[in-house]
Amino acid sequence: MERIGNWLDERLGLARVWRTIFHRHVPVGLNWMYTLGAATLFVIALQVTTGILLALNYSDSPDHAYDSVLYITNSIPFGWIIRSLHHWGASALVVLLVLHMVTAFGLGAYKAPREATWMVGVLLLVICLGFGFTGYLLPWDQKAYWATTVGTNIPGAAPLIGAWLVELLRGGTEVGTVTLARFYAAHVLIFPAILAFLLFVHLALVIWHGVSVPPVLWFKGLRGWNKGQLDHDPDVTPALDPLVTPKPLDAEQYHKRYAAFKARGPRFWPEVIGDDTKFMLLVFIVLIGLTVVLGVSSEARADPTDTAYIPRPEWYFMFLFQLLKYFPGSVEWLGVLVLPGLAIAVLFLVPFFSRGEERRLRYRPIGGGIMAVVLVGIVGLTVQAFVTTPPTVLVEHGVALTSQQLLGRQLIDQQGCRSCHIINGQGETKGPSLDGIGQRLTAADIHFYMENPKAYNPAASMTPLIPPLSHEDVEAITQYLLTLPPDTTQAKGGSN
Amino acid sequence: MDNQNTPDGPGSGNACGAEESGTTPRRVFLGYMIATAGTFIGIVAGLPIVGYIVSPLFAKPKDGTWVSLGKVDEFSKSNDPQMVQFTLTQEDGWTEVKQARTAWVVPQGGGNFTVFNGQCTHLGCAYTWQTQGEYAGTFHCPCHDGVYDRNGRVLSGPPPRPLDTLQIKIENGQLNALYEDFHLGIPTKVVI
Repeated sequence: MERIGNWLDERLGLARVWRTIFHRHVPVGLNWMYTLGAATLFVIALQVTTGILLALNYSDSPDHAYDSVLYITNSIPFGWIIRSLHHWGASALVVLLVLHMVTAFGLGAYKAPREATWMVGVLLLVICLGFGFTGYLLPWDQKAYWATTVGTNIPGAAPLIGAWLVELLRGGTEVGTVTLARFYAAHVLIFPAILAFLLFVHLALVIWHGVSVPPVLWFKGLRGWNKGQLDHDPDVTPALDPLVTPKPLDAEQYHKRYAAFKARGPRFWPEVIGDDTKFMLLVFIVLIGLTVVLGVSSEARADPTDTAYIPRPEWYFMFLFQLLKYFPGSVEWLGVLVLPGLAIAVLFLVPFFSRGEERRLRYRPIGGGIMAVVLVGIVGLTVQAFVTTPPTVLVEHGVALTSQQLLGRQLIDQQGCRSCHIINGQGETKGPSLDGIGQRLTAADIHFYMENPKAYNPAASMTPLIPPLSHEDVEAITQYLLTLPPDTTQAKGGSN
Repeated sequence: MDNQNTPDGPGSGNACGAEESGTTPRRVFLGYMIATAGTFIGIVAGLPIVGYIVSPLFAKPKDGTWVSLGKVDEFSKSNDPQMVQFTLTQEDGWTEVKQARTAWVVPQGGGNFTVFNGQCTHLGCAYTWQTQGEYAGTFHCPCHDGVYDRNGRVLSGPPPRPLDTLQIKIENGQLNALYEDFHLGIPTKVVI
């Protein structure tokens, strides 16, 4: 065994790579904030894995996309877990990326010599938001279609090139077959290639420079560190006071000081990975919990003719959605295109705006202040968006319909139920009116009847709904029927 | 993260052999902790992943479809086997597709028939009944020269088993067959 190992190592040199990555020491004094990058990487790995599995059974055409996603969710064993993990993983990725970035900013980790690590990180954030934007069109449901229609319309108001931008994004004037194909290609071919490259550079730079020493410790120096043990060479890490000497240390001073912190620090394997693992495990358990408890809410098939649907973006784009409301139509593009674009550019260039040696947040009032204002702004806009735009999209008879009831409402149209029944004041009278049925029958009875009418009433002439529908579909119809009051016909005043 | 390493020279790493090879009790314990957590994540995520990938292997066999091949009288007119083509609507993933299939009807006299699935049992090419030439009076598959007699027995070539017979029934003068496909290239007839 050892001989095989030695033979391979002489050819491949992997032992050296292993030692460089896993046996390297990291500085003393790291805390939980330093595990966020590893957790982000873990979720990316999870997204790649579940994403590849989803692609095995997905069809990127409007005729089949919705059905193939239903097939994954309902017909393939464990398919719902894979899809739900990918769905929640996307949200977790955004949360972790933002936390990772905010802590890196707070720790001043973007400062010399780690400017490039930060800048590549900002590009990774942009790519991941791109994954989110292209990803949620793919199920081709109502939310996907309408949110993308609105989202791709936004650049349209930009002067001169607006219309051109929209057509470029959509591959045509409407969101349609070509849009779905190019969003899919971006999501599974273009972005992953860019992500792989950026991620490689980001990680290589993390290994090359090592992680930053926590700011307070960096400035205090190592004297007295390690439970009162005297530092063997106090001159290497004298206390710094950048308020007096704001210029960065020169390279030689820096490396000497960093090496002293590193020499006292734990090794990457297994100490640091051990801490990373604890946090990854927590993230994983939360994701599995969300997957099992909440799953993915069922949305109706995309219907470009449905004018009643009010689209909502994913929660992590809600602050942009809210921002849109404060800009009048003619300058809307400033608010949602130029402003976020500038914000990303500023974020990208942060290391050049803030070049002093000082990394302690309490001595960086301008940077800290800007970060606080931006965070409060984004959180505030998001909260405001959710408060002012409740998640319900349709109110009938004073009842705000849930997504399940909306699905039921759409299925009733698709199945042609109104060719026999009056539903919500409209339809034929071959069968009984279903308005107010909730006052005559229980939910279980309604469900059971639609599932197999003859088992409930041998004289029934209605054909069973399962198949072609599933139990979830029938329950959706049931839940919608239960919202109908008995007097819709009178209320309509003979309009039909 | 507390630090239990002994201080040593800047940048030189730790000199102690046990420290470097990861054999101190603390490192061994941490190694087990990581392995346990990794195994937990691997199993909880891995079971659905593996199940998802291999699930097609456990799909239940498709039900056969009864197809009407034609009038018994027509097939009885000649003693030669006759080919019948028909279209099946089958569930295919998330869609339904129409698939063209063929069967061969072989009159056996006295109103009896044998019906063969139109695929060669070797690799699934379409074979045909030969009335002239080198293979006259046999079913010949042009792909790899598989040859069967009119009862489907292999006369020569690579086919591993006789032609696959289909279950038939005659109703109101109509010949019907239960169309099924079978695994190809193996000596036994196993329905897909």
